[in-house]
Amino acid sequence: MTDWPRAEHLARPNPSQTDDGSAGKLVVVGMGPGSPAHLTRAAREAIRAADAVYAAPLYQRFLRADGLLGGETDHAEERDQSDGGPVVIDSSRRDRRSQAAATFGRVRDGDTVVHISGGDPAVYGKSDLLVTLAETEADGEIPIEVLPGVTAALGGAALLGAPLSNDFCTLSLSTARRDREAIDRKLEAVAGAGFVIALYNVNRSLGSALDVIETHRSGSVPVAVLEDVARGERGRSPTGETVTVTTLAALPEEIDVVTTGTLVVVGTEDSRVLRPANGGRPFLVTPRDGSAPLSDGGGEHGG
Amino acid sequence: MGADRTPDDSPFDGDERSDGADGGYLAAVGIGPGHDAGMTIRARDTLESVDHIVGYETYVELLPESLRRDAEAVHATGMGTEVSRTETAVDRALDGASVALVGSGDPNVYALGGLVLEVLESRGIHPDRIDFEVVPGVPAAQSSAARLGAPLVTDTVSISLSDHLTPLAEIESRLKAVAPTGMAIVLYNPWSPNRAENFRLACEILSTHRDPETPVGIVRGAGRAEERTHVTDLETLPELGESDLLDMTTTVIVGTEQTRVWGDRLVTPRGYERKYDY
Repeated sequence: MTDWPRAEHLARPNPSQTDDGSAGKLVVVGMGPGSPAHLTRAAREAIRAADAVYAAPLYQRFLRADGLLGGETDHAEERDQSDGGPVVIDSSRRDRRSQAAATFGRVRDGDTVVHISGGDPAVYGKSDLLVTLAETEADGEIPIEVLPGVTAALGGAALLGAPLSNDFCTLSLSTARRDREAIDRKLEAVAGAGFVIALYNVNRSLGSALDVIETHRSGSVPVAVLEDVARGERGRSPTGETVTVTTLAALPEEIDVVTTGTLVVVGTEDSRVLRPANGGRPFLVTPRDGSAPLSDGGGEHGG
Repeated sequence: MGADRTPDDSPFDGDERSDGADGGYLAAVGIGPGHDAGMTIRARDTLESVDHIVGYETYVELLPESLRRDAEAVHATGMGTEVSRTETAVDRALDGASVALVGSGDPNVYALGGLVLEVLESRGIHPDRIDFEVVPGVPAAQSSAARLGAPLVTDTVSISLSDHLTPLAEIESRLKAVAPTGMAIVLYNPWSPNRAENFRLACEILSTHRDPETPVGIVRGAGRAEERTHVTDLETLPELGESDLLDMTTTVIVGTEQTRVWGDRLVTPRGYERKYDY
């Protein structure tokens, strides 16, 4: 289906894995931060070739607008596309377990089923659930391919230049069924050790998280608040894509509302804001070494 | 504390403001894991539209032949020339050319996006003067995680073990800080012959704070033709330092106490178990 090189270790010895065109498989696809321009070619081809696509309504809209899915926006739970394209299923419903079971059923029948995750499937996405259920409820016999995507943090970082150009972490502040103290311990650890911090799911507990970080970091370190990254006018926020650069101390005064789609990047003591004299957008950079002169020498790989 | 440059102390004077008059353009482009299908549409469009492609020779060689043929000038340089390569890209953009500075993965992740800004800052030039933008790509952590199943679906830190730009003491203190937490850890630049000690030290710190049976996933050259993957545990990891599995193109993913292994698949659930009831 795609020319993403095959990983031999995932090619388990069962008949359905032979790639003769009739074998089904589950493909978990990273959507990237929003705009379909951030999809990889492998991801686009997987969506085009799918028999069924599970996607939340927001991502369905992006894909339809880009012509990757046919038909109009429709919140019906399941329907066949009149143009012969894939069946599109709303994955925002709560019964993920039964959706997984239905997925495995289709795969056994020879279908290629795509599940879309925002950003990368590994970043608070659903590859954990699907891989786990494939093992516990389908005896590991479901061929699974994960097609990675650009993460929301990196999509947001790109708008700012290079705020994550040193060791960084991604942390979710969601307290839904998670231990608040464990989150605080992680915040303490990364704030004290100089990581750039990308915060996800900030809508309920941003204030207290910033308080924890501020016990380890100056109030003057740069902080960026990003809304609807790379989504343009198609996102959830009425103001569209917004990027605000402020400081740890000033954030509570400057930012009124955060939503589930808000991403917050907290810089380190080395992070710097590059701001033009009159207007113009600010850039943010966290150098690999805050003091070293610029010189060649090195020998390391990025990525 | 790095200077938060407010309008009052800005190094960018009136003559250097963004006006686009120079017509130059510079994009730091992340090409992802290094094969055509893993590149985003936007990255490809950017590479097709520029006059010059500048990059480390290995990354330039990973680009599709058609892109290399169409670019007016392709400037490939070797390892250890990051600063001069970046300056070349900046100089050409300042001369009015449209330039893509390519790298594998994402420009933010131990790559050249930050260096472009540092070079510009050192010269007092605001990035808007060359219409600088960063085109994100799929980083090695995500490409590697995808090959292992779902080892990173939780809070995650990435740490480079290269002490070329970061003092070893700082790397050590970061490892010590996060090892006791329940975060997954991605190690970049894990091993090279002259940094064997860094790897040994990292293994030692991690084993002090995590169960010896903590699953570890290793992916070398993720997504490339010569890709190799291996699943092991923290206890066995030090032995692999000298093996050909570990070099500067390898990503090491250290799991948490939640990480499960099924054959060659790794899963670290994000901690919403009860929501899904599995």
